[in-house]
Amino acid sequence: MFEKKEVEMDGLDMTEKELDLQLGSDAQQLIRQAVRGVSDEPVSMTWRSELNQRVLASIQTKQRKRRFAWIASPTLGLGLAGALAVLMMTNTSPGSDPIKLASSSALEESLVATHKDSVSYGDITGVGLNPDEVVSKRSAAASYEFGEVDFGSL
Amino acid sequence: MELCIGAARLSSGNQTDHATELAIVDRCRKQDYEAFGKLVDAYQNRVFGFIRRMVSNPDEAADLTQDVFIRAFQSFHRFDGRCSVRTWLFRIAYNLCVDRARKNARSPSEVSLQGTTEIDETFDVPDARWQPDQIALDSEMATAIESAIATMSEKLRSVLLLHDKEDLPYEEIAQMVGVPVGTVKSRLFLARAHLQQHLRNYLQAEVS
Repeated sequence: MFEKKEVEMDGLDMTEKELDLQLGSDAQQLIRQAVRGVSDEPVSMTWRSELNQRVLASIQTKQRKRRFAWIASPTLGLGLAGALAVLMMTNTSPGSDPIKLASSSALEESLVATHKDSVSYGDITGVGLNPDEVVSKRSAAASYEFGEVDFGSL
Repeated sequence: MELCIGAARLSSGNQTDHATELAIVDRCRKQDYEAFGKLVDAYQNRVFGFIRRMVSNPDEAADLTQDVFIRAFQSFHRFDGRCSVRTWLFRIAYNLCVDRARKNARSPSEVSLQGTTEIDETFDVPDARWQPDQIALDSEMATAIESAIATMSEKLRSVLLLHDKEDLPYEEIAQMVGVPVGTVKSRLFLARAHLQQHLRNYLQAEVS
């Protein structure tokens, strides 16, 4: 079947069928055989040696990259996890921040008041008792009614 | 399967060689240095021959040929096997030559297409007595062909070498070069016509 499609590339004005016929002509085939018959210049041993070195270097580079990736990926993961943890800690609400709580004046006042109470209780009751014990013992002493036997023993 | 035997057979194209090639390719994908060496043995001269004719500087051609094989070794995992290793290697080689030409920003010595379209219809073909596939080309003829190829434009030269020298099909060349099949054919026709003109005197003397 004759193809009407024209090949108009590079100044040629013929159908593809005509072009195929031309390419198959004896003159063109002769040139083809001539080109095919031209021998290839062999590469030198030095060239091959250099290529081998480059290929080996390429293998070593790849292995180094693999090793680095093997070490770097868990390290990177740990670093990322640490960074996330720090981020979460710094982004918590101010009320629950123990550092801010410790530095607040209310806590200081509370601590000072507790210390003063402790000192005053110590003056009264002596060492070894805590304020609760003092309170309970005081109230117990107040409600105790001395009998005759007690007075006799005194 | 012995790679030593297979590598020597890689250049031809029967079924056994295809299987051998697949085995070598499979090993090359796993970065097998020895298998890759066999592949280089099989194709180094042909790839170098192609690049040597595309690039005027022999040292640069040698470097580019090394780059072809290094690139192939590094990207073997991307070789899908849809074409032969030979086609793949020549594709890499062609692309590197094109890249190098772009980098050098050197305008290739284009042959006037008007001139090459004047086909000598009276060219005598002594097909009965002169059978080029059966006799060896002498060094003078080879030099004449080499110099004629060197004076060709890169577009014509690449198609001529890939088809007539490396025996790649039109479709693969078209895919490689990035032009339609018809364009490949017309370029091949023009390249042969150019060569025909340059070798005319020599061939006539040979016949006489």
